[in-house]
Amino acid sequence: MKYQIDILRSDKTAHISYFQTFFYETDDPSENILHMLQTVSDDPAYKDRDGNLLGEIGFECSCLQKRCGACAMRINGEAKLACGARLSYYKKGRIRLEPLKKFPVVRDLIVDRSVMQDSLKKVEAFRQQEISLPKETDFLAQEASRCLQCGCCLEVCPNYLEGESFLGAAAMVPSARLVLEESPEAAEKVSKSYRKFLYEGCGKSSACQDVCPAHLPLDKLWAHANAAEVWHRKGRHKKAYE
Amino acid sequence: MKVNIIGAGLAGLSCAITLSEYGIENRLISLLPSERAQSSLAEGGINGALDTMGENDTPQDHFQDTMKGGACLNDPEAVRVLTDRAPEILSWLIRIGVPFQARDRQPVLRKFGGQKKKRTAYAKSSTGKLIMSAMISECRRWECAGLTQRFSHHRFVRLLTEPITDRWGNSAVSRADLLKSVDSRNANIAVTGVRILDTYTGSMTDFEGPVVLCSGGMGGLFPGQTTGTTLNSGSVTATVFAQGVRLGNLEMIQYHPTTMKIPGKRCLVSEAARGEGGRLFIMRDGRPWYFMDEKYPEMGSLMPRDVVSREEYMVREREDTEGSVCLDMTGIPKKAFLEKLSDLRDEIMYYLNLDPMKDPIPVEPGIHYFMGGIDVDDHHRASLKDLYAAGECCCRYHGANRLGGNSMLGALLGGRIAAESIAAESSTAKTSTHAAGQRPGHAASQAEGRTGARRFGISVSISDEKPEKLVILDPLGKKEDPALAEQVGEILQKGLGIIRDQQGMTEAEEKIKALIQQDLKTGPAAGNYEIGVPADINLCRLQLADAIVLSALERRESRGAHTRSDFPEKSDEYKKMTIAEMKNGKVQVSFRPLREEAVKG
Repeated sequence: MKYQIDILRSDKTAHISYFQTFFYETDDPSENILHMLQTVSDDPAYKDRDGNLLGEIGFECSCLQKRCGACAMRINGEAKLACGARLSYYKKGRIRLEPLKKFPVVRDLIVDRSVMQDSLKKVEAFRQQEISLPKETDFLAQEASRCLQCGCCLEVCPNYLEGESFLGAAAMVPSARLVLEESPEAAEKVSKSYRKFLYEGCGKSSACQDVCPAHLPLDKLWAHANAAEVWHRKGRHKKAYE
Repeated sequence: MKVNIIGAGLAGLSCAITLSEYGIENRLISLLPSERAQSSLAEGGINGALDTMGENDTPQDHFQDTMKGGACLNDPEAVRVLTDRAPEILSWLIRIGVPFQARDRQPVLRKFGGQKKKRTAYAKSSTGKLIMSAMISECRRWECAGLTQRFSHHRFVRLLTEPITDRWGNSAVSRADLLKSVDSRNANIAVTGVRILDTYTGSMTDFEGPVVLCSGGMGGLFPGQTTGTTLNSGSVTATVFAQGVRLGNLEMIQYHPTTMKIPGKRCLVSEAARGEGGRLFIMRDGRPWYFMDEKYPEMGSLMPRDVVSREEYMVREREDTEGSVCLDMTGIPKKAFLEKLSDLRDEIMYYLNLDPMKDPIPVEPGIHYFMGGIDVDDHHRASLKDLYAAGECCCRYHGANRLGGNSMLGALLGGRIAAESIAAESSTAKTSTHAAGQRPGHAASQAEGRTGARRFGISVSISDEKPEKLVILDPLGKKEDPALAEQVGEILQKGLGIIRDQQGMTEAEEKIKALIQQDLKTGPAAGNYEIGVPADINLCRLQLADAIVLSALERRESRGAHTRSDFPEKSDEYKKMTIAEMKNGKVQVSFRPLREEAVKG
């Protein structure tokens, strides 16, 4: 099948951005958008619809198997990992690729997501206290450790905007573990930040839950961390989860 | 003094955290943030003789399995330290919050390939990801304290080096002598810093200070054929090799027995699948033949990876078998599957459209790990002064074949030891919060760990140091040519398959030599090529490829991951480490005897 790809290209230093259109043919039902980008970008002779050379396309990738979060972008307007988006899913054969909009664009599909690292530093999301293993496997902690920091949740969140006080689900996930696992004294700082930067700004739209490419149980994490932090109902979450 | 760490995977994080614990400032330089590192893809688990399963497991057992799995090409001293310190590393991970699978406050351990006892701590089959999350969070403490500074979109360009001078500032030796004498450890060249490129702006920066390479394996030499990430291009190893750094055991390339082809790469099917009871078979006379169980009744499909991959290759070559080798996980109890392997099941269902709880899945061997790499000593020092290496980019613990569960262990320990040696040589280091002599888990050390930042009088603040930007034109700053990489990958794959022979490897060697000649004539460095001064990343990569093939050619025996049809037996004559180095612009391969310590028991 022949796909028409429209890709938003931009160069910050040259202050230009434009849609470029090219065609890509494949009959492999497992072919994904990231591998398509790799293929055309590595081919110095690949041309766009108007016969111009495509050149190297800017995009980030690493694992190619939905485990690292590097290749998050907007695909037909939806925030997704490009390596987890198969071309065959787009039956109409037209695919529009754009960078995530909530982050500053560096080049083409590359955005600067360093604000996510800064947010985690801002809430001081690190352990004050060493811990030991619980009596039984803590499946919620395992889930909370799987966050890819890809930024899709921030992209779709109606309450998140860079520079505002609400830091979004990407900052909530690591903080939730601390709120749930540390003793009240040790979690004092992170608790304050949790309330200020996370609990208070969330409008409970659950958009993050729907978009998360790692399928994290974000609503559960929000609920249990809120319960522990705001209503001081710590420890019940595990039972509830199981 | 600030230490420059190249790579923010497990080894890099471990090094950064340990340096910070000693109060030594460090820069954590990586192409992408830690979440994207290959360590996050590690699946099955991490080994340590914690003996929580009532099998009387000891570090000595772990030592023996590791030596045997590595076909005794491992440095016994290195393995001794690895296996003795494994429980310490595991207990560190537990204390910083890795949510391992647990029972009665103890980690549950599973059995892995080549192990006689259950020794692998795990978290489903996403152990790497969960360890990385805890390490990233731990590192954040030191970022907030201003001791670790991240450079998350920066590419390594080259080492900055200078001749070691005498006390009057005169060069100790002439330049020509210098190039010849790279071979003795820490001889006459010192690493003074590193040049990195900001991939967002394209500008380059030189940073002073010792350098720790934690840049991962050389998967990028085999594009699309490995289970690794695109970040591990092999270019760091290629560049430092051209700069005179010595490499070892390059021919030892691990083929993992269970992988599946997906767009752009091979996807790993964790060894945990076999650890939990999965068995390999192939169809023979219309019936499944469980060839591993038949040939190796004791361990079955859980033999070390080199053995399983080789057997898979052989049964496929037979005339009475048909189809591909399949992994049969249908015998694993449903509860165990959902609790321990649910993530693996999701992945298999997505990529193969098969439910492994109901159907066997086709698998193939695929390139997974490089046992060889930068040659380091007991202190993880490389062959140039003030250069260190840890993790998969170095050659240290795994001999001729790495056991599953030992890679993350080696990376964590390597990063820690490199940091400890830097601290030992540094005048500014303070006593670590986890000082070397103290066993973590000890009450005193736990208390110190909590107050580490305060102890050093560090106020928590985000470092605002801006590096001084330099505009430098360095031809090494260019990215490698993907078409050439593809071509080299095909040549290497053909010459260095699971079973190798003189003819195939000689052909590969000739083709690579021809590409080198072509690059010397037409590449960016053409015309002004100066020996020992790397100027073209493609040339560096070709030289590394050449070194791998030459190392394989020189080892005229079969051992571990290196199997030759023309020399099918293991030979004591080659119980030595293969050494590759650049001398006068040419790759030279030699052998270095191992330190003696018989495998006890």
